[in-house]
Amino acid sequence: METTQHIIARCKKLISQPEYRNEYLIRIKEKYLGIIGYFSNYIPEEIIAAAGFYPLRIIGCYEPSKPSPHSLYIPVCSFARDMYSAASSGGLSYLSQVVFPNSCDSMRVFAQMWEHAVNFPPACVLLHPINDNSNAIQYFAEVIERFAGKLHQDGGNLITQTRLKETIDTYNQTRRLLRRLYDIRKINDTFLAGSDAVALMTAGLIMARDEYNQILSQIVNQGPREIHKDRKLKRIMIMGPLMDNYGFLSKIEEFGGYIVYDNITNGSRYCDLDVEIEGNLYENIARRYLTSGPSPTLNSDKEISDQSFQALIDDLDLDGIIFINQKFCEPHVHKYLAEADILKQMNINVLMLEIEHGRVEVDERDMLRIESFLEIAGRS
Amino acid sequence: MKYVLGIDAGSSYIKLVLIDEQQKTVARNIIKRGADIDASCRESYNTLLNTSPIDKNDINGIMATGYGRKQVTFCNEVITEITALSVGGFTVAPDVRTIIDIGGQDSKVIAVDTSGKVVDFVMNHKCSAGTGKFLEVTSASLGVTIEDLGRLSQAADTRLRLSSTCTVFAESEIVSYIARGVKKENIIKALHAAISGQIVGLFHQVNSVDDGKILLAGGVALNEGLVHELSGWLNREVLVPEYPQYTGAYGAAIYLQRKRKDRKTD
Repeated sequence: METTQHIIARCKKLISQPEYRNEYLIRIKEKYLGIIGYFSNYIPEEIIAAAGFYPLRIIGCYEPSKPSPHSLYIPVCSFARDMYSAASSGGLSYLSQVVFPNSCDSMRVFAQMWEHAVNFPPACVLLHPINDNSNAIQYFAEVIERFAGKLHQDGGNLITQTRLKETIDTYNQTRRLLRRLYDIRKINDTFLAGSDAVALMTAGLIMARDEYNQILSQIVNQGPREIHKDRKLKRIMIMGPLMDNYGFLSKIEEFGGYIVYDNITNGSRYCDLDVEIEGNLYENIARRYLTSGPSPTLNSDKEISDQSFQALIDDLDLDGIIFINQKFCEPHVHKYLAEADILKQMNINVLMLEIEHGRVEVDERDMLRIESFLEIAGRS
Repeated sequence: MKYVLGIDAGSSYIKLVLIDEQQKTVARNIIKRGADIDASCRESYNTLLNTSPIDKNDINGIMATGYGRKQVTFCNEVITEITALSVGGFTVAPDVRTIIDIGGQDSKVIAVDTSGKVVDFVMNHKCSAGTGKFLEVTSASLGVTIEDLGRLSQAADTRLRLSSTCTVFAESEIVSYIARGVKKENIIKALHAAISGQIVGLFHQVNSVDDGKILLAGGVALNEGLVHELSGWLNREVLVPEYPQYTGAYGAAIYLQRKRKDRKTD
């Protein structure tokens, strides 16, 4: 049996070594109708998988910095720039399609640029709504059903109810296992470092789902049941958009932090809710994707000032929260500005960091910010 | 008597402060940083020992802080400059609630509560706008020493405005002012205003700073023209300790001493 240490090392390789990732994906591509890449948590991967395609969440390319693509509108976020750079240099050639979300200006500009300058593989935009009320859910269910029809046309596989149920079940299993992982890490800080947990969760967005569920199940089943909380470690929650830079997170741990929880796209926001398996499946998927969150790109009723968030903070026994934003990600900056004040009123120490997506090196001043923050963070 | 040493290995200068059990400074030393931070710190340490009556064996702890703190091989512990400055500033003036440090490569604004605990801090971003380096580079293009900036700015008779706080762009702007025959005193005042504007921006990002006094730390605080300008921009009095450039080193020494006392009490 593969050890946890070995699994984590493999996950890190998948994230940070594009060549290794590409080899893995090219190998796996044979078994599917093709690989469909997507850029956001709003793209229902169950539908892609049920249609016989391989859903792949596209993350950082982690390649040495390339010259800025001149054709890309400058104020797009560093994630879009990084992806554009990877796509225009052929780094995403294993994809047969890409799906863009309708989540922010950066993504909309990126989708337009893809059409004009990259043009391969073909792209589509999934027009998800920005509300989570019943009308929005109904509308999104129709969008998803049309998307399923498009995939049927593209690949020839009809998405039957049985097939969709099976796929939903597989993806729900991942979510349940990830939630168990969070529960274990909440009570025991010796089990898995936060940077390792993020690497494990991020690799799940790349790996074949059956393989992933199997390794996740193995790790979770080995998890300790006893409580262990080292009072010397500062218990930190990270917040922000996609955060796949586990090396950056390991700096927080180096300075005495324990990342006990997150509110990031590839973390708790990915697995917080299951898709209901009874009733109208398209509507269930729409509901799950729109009510998961709260995301800054959605006009959700869920607020950080909600009692549930306060209860989570208490449950986690937090010392502080670190917002890690990708440069020029406007929705998350706005979210931070609104939420930081609320958190400070709750007497929670908050630090904001802005990093360049896909950049491996950690800026010296960010290290100082992290170290200083961990010196002052604490339960008052 | 036992002594504790604080080392602030800054990006421009190495500052050392030796304190006694009553937190009184008994010796201090400052030198320009060389390429080898550890060697510079050792040189400063040796000078301090040679010029003070304190025996090396009576120094029972060394705490390093500052940008080069992790390069100091002969210290017992390290802390960040945020903590060191807050401890140093608060010890010097316990009614202080905001500590501003204009360092060689970055500027910091730190908010402390009534017990001196840091409640928030901000630092400038990547470029050298609003830092000591900005003054260093621009004073060189004016052909004056950094020590003369304060005195010269007091003789300004017109308020000029630099349109950029970027060190590179500001330098070009200064060159064009010189070419137009503008008095250097007025240009220097404009430099101080540019830095003050940057600091005020950071100041307003920190919460809990509405009350209490403001202390300016770092060698730049010796520039009375800048202190006057900053005070005007903040519309508040800005305190300057007697030896502002040693605030971080002093704080590091105090921090270590307190830590050792706490350990004994435990």
